[in-house]
Amino acid sequence: MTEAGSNKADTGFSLRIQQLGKVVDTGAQRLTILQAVNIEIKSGESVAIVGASGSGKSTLLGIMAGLDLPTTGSVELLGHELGALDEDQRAAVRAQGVSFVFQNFQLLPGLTALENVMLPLEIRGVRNARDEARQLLTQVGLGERQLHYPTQLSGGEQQRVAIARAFAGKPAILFADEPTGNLDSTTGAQIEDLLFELNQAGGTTLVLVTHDERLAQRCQRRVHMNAGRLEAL
Amino acid sequence: MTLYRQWLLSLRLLLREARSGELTLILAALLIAVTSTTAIALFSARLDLAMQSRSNDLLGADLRLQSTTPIDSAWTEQAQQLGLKTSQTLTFPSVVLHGDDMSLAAIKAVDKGYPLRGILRIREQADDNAAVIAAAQGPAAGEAWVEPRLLALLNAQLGDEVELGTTRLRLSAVIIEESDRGGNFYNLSPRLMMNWADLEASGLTAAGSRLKWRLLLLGDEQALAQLRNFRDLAPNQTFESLADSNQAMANALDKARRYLGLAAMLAVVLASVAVAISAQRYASRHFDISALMRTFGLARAQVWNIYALQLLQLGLVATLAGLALAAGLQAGLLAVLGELVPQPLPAAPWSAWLLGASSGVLTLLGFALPYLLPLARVTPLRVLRRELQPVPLSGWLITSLALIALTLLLFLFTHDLPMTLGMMGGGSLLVVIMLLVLNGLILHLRQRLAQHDLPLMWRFAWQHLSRNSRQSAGQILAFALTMMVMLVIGALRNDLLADWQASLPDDAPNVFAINIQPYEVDDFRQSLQDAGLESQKLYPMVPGRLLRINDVSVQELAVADDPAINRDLALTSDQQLPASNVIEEGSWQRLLDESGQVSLEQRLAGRLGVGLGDTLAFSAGGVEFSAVVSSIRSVDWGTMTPNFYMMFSADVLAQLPANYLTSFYVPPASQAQLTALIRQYPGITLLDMQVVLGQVQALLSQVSLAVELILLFVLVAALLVMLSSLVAALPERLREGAVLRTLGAGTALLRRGHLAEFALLGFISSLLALLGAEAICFGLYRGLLSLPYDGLGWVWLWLPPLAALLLALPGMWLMRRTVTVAPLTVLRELVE
Repeated sequence: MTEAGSNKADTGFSLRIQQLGKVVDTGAQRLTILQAVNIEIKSGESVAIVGASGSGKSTLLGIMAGLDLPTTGSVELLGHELGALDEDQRAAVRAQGVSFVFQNFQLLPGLTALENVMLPLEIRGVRNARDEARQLLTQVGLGERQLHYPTQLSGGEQQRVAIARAFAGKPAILFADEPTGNLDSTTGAQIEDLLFELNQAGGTTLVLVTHDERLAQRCQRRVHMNAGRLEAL
Repeated sequence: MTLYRQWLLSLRLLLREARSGELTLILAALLIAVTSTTAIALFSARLDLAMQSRSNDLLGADLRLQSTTPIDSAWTEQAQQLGLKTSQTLTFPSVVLHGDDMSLAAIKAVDKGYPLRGILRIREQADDNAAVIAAAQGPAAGEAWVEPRLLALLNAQLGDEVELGTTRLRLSAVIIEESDRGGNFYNLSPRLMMNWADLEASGLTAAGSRLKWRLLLLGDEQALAQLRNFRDLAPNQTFESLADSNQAMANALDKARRYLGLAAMLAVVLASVAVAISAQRYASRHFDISALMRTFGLARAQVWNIYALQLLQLGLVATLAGLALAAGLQAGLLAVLGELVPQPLPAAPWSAWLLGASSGVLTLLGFALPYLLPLARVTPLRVLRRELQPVPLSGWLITSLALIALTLLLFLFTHDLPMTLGMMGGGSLLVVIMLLVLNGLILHLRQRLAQHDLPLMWRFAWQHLSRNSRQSAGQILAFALTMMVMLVIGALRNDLLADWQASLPDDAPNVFAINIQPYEVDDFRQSLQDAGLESQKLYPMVPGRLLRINDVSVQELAVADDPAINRDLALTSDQQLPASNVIEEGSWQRLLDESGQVSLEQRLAGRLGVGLGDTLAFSAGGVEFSAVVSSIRSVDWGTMTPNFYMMFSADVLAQLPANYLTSFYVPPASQAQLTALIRQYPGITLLDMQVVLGQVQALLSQVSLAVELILLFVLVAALLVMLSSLVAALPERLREGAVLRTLGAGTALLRRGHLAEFALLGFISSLLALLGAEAICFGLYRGLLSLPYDGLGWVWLWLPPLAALLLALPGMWLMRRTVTVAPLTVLRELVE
């Protein structure tokens, strides 16, 4: 694996995006999904990206996290200029301190709750992965259900597992894509509490995409995505 | 992440997935492939090794002179002058008596030089734990050594006396190993070994058929070569070297091995299909985890390593378990085949284990890898956009990889490239054609049935079967073919001989008498009359060989390999056309009116390409003569009356030494009279067909049981194909079940629908199997054996429900969740 640390610069920012654009070629026509996006997110900050469906939120999130590349512009994640890195080097950046929470939880059905949380720790080679995963599950209130499989858990419980997994290994930045989108309002509120508690406790940078205004309100900063452009609120 | 850590992770993931049942089907399919191929590989290799490493022992000499008449002592004298060691043996079939019990035995008389080379091991007590002794010489005069099964057949024990011809011999040992016995595949009767000195007293040495004299020779190559040129051999004499005797035995064993190998390959093909289906599902279920691992920071190569390592470990586990199971299966095969395989067998070489193990690796590489390769190419963006799927390998690439893997496997097994390519080409073509026909039938039926209102549960069942018509056609074909082969083998094993015997009239002859000397003919006929036994005519019989057809040596003709060429034929002459013969061409009358005529059996004439007017030259009793074909006869060989390939006009055989043969019927109540006849005419060989048939039946049972044992694995593999495709379709089934239940369908209705579907699959497969088996058996009975054919009868009643049950039970068990899980849970799970 190539170390991605060579072009790392400590700027006090977790994420810096400049003049970012994304154009998708669909064969018949060229679709502009993002254009001239600029944003800087400080370490430990929490930012909500809100906007209507199809406004380009999720695409932006994917590019921010290095899952996809922009057509134009630059992305600097945790001090690494992603445009200069290939896919495997970007993976190495993610391994260092990026994690995710998804709308559809993305738990692996064949693994127990505990094993799901252990997985990123094991991938990063954490020695006492099991103990740390247990602790995290207890923290999210699932200490008793560690050996249950995802199908045996409710939606809210599954998202708690996903959050425990996201905070495993103490990430520097966490991207959340509609984390409460699949949950009822009561459960959703509990999940929000959990997310912000852990965010504050660990000093993690939090970037979340949502169209839930109430959730967005809890972030320190909100930006609005409209037809591929980012507007501060 | 180091490779070691990747390995640890892959192992952990593998264990977790194995626990959740994700890998069970792949593992089971691999296990079947490895087990069946390894068992056959071990079995074949051990047989090979037994033949190769002990080929000298198998011949019992460096060179052997074989003759159907006594060997001139000049040969022995010449050999001894050349410094060769010699030994003589005589083998022939004869009846052995012990009180009222009798059995046909393969007698072997040996002189004091025996064994020249090879292994003769005996036990002087019948007890299995008694010490096994390597014998330096054959039995002493007055004694006989026998194979253990002869003791059982005669109800005799060591120390008892048995009657052989006019002499009595004391049983003094059982034979544990006789390395120059020859391939036991065609040797039906148990061995009795006696001393050469007792031959004369037994009165069994008169010239006759089925006697084989052998002069065993041991010494340096030059002397052996000199002896070969000592003088010309008579047509009924041959030299046998290692190469010849190995060839004959290798051919026999090769056949048996090929059938077993073919059955094993069938299991591998089906198991591979199951592996492919399971791997495809495994891959599609792992797109998410691959994407997730990438978001966790794993590089593409690392993800690939993890899957490759998983595959490797999976293959390793399946291979190790398969090898262990194969050792058991192979022991089962040997137990079933018993004394038919040379004993004791050497241990299997490493190469055989390796060959078996390679089937697991090749199956994985050819059938699982193509589906798993795209896993490493999953984009991490999939975690946000689930519709992003890696581009699968192209269809032709997947097919080619599979075909290459199968071809390679087949070639490793057969070491015969033309056969491998032929089987792959022909086999694929045949399967494709059958699949197309079956698929077409299903589609046609679907159109027809669409216009009818079936009951709901049958409609569900039929929809499932016909929607994936190609898949259903494949499954039906796999089950039908396997069951069909099992049915045919079962029918032949159980019924063929019984049906033939039943087709004979009650008083059909059941005893053949051969080697009746001319001076005994009248007495013997009288004795039969006195005993109230009605015999067929006594036919003169001269053993002779066909040398030339129209002045061209048969060795130079295309027919040189015909079994009728290289052995003595029974030549006869009679005024009357035997009752079971019909003249098809030419005239029987010419045989009576003219000299130098021969009437030829129809099938042999066909094989030799001989027609009316052709001239055939023979050698018999040291005399060469020729005759013109004046008629062609069809012969019903199944009548138990004496029948002949060649019948001559009286003049041809008049000057030749003949002995006589006949057949007659001994009612069950008159067995004592048969025993009396055997005692009265010790030189005449009386073959009790009941006993001979019993021995044939036992042989048939053993061989077919061995093949069926392997076919059982084929059946399990076919079942795995069905189960893996069911599992692959499970999400679709779950959704369908949930939707149906939200629409108000009860669990009972869904269960009945499943039952109907799998039962229908089993039912159709078994009907096809039965139809195919009936057609094949009918062809065998009526076409090949001219026997009346009664059909499979009761099988029609029990097989379809059994097959339906066989498929319905595991099928319904797999589908149980589709009727028990709350519809909401299913729909929620599937939304993701």
